Amino acid sequence: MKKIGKFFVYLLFFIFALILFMPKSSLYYFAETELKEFGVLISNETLVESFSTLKVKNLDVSVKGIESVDIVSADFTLLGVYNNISFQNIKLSSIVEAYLPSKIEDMNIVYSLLHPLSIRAKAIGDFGEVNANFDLLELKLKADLKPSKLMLRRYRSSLHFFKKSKEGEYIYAKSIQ
Amino acid sequence: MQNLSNSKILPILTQLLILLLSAKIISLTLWWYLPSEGVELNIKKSYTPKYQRVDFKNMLVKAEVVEDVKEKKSTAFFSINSLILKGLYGSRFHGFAIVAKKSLPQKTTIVSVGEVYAGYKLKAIELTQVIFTKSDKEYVLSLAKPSSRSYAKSVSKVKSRTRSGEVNEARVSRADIQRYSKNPSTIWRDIAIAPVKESGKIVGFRINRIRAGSKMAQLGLKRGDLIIRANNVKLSSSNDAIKLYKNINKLDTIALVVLRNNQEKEIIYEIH
Repeated sequence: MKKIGKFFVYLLFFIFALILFMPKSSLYYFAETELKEFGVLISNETLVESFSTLKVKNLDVSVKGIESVDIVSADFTLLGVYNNISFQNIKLSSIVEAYLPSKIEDMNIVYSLLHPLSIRAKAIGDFGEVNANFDLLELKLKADLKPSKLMLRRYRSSLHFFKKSKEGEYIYAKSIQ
Repeated sequence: MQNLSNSKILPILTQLLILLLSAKIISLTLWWYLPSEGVELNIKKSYTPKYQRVDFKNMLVKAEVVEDVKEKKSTAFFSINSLILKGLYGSRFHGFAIVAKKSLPQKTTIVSVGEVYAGYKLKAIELTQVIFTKSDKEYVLSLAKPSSRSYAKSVSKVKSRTRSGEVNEARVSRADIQRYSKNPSTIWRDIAIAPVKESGKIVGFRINRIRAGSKMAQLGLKRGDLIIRANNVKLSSSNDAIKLYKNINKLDTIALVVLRNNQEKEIIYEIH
């Protein structure tokens, strides 16, 4: 029992050291090159590494050559058991503005061992609030939107992609298989 | 005093140090193989020259070509003040000027650098003026400002020609453009456009559907048209089309080149 306890202490220490020494910027650049394959490019950003997180400021995101999103800051926390990517102050481009309110205050994407089979996301902005869940087993995305008054008033046509539930929530579901 | 080598802490410290070292080696290996810099978007500066429609109807009278040594003598005497500069193209010693005599302002002539018009030899082209020479003296002729009267005249000319259907040009209301840019969903209700690729590269945007009776249908576009250029910019990416859409409020004229029945057709829209 004492040996098992000792093993876990050493394991935790090793993970701690691994997180400390992990080349976070290089991992970020690797993710960037992977995203490039899907036509997503992130430009003009500045990276700040800390013990367990990587802070990225001023991200200009373009999709297939079209400047689409400006993000003021993003925090990447990758601890293995708990991984979180958090975006603050997202501004959608004027092209997207025609379909959605352009400002998203906060967006969180979380993967933790507490819910090993799903990735959860939450976003709050002028459009309202959305909670999304991606099932890793069935490769299904489900998003529940609580639209704001602005969304209901000016962007009602964009809500056609969602199904309205009895509770008044707008639900979007898509399978990626 | 207990010897340090006999202490129980030393093997623990050694083991922790080994773990630290292992973690460092793993991270260094990762650092070695992972990219050291990210990918940046390189946007080419969009070359969107302002489209300017030039009426070439009366410009077919070619100026006399000057021989390098001897200038042809003009039979009639014209003062430089009797000439009007209607347009210019080029820079310094390359390009041409569109000139007319004040007595016959409608009869314009294209004069290239080095050519003689009314006894004056075109020497150089500046930003808003041209320099003629005559008898070793230089004369500057500045661009004529269009009078409001002549502008009104030219607008009515466009209208009449549109009605006759001879030229593919149309006038578009800025209010319509603003309405479309505020509610882009109405664009896609009236028209469906999809990029056309050849060897993986976009060669233009095909009109797959156009709603009869809509503003879009009134623009002279037809189903099956392949839009290949807008304001002299080749539409080779979605970004080119988006840039045009973003700047549409700043434009006075839009010139679209479409491929219809394998023939290029230019359609000009004057925004008023």
